[in-house]
Amino acid sequence: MDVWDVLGKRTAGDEFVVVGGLKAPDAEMALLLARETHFRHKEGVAYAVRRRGEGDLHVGSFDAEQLGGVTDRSYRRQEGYVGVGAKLKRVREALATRGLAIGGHRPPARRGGEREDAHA
Amino acid sequence: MLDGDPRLSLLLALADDELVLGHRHAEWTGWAPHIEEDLAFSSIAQDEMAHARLLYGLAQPLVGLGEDSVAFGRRPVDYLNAWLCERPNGDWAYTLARQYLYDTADAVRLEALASSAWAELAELVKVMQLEEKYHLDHGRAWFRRLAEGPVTARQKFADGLAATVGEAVALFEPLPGEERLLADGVMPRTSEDLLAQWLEALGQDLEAVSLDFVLEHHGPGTGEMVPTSSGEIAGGEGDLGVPGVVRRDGRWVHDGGFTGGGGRRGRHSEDFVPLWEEMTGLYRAHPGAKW
Repeated sequence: MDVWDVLGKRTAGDEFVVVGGLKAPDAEMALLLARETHFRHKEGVAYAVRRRGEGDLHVGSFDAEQLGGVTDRSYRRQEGYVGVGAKLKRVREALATRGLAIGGHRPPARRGGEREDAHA
Repeated sequence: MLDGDPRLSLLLALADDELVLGHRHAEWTGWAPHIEEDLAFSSIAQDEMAHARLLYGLAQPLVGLGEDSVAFGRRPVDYLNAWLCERPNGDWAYTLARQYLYDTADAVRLEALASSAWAELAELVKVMQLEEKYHLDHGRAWFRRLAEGPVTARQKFADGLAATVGEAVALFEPLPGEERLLADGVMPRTSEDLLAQWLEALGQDLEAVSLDFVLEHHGPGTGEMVPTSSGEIAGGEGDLGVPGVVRRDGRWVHDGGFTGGGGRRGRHSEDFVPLWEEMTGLYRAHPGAKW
């Protein structure tokens, strides 16, 4: 299957720039998949694909209003989780006053292979 | 729950379809045939759930429950989704056939509801339509690709269509209180009228790729949807019978009417309770929890 470059414009005044890549059998499917994989969170106002190594640009038909969806997707972005740490802290403190604690293991904060004393 | 304002039946039918099908779509996350499609289908699943949330929000004052309670705090017989939405995913061809049939049917009913006399619903539907265009594009692209594709893909897709088209017809099962919804202009057109519009367009799509034979499996007298096991949830009415499908005067039309009650009356297939148990498990374990 061919590799396609995915291009996007963040604002209407921008030029198309490469934002990623994907595999697809033809331009129609490449455009569909580019839209689904790269432009679902209001990342831009226009999108296009180009078969890698070729010059022809295939521009997507969805306009800026449609591109990226219209319903609340904040949970899919980093800012959607602002305040979660503070909330966890409040819950921990509230539980502690009742002699309770949140159980379970937390994933390690360090990358695999790093020495524990490297962060000491 | 459905005694009183018939607008609640309409909202729950629309929302439950979206929530339950979104749940099924989400089961493909991590398992779709390739990673790009995995993301695409997951996005569609999230869209459907987001649309359900919008509709539940509109239903809140009618039902007197919070958003989460409307979505997850009801008994199985209080869900009004069509059977098509609750069926297990099967293989990828079945899933795509169902997605195509559902989203083309959904487009027909949303187009009608965009001119509803209930202004809040009409506005909400217009928002949904912007995202449903993604789903239609996706469904139509795969429809063409599989219908014109290699023999095996085409055959599997045809099998998926044949397996789902009868239950897709039941998406247009008349709603409880539909007469009043029509009289008030909340529903601009009858469910049967919408079915006719969808079937005609579906017939044209299928004829264009010589797959219209799948409709012949649903001729007059073949449309009864008899529950297949004792797991069926009784909603208090007879088994749902759906109209047959025939080609008449050059177009595909429905023949006969709906009888009994199906998903729109809270009557579900044996596949619904396991789905409901999983979908509502967290809510039922921690009712009223804030996130």
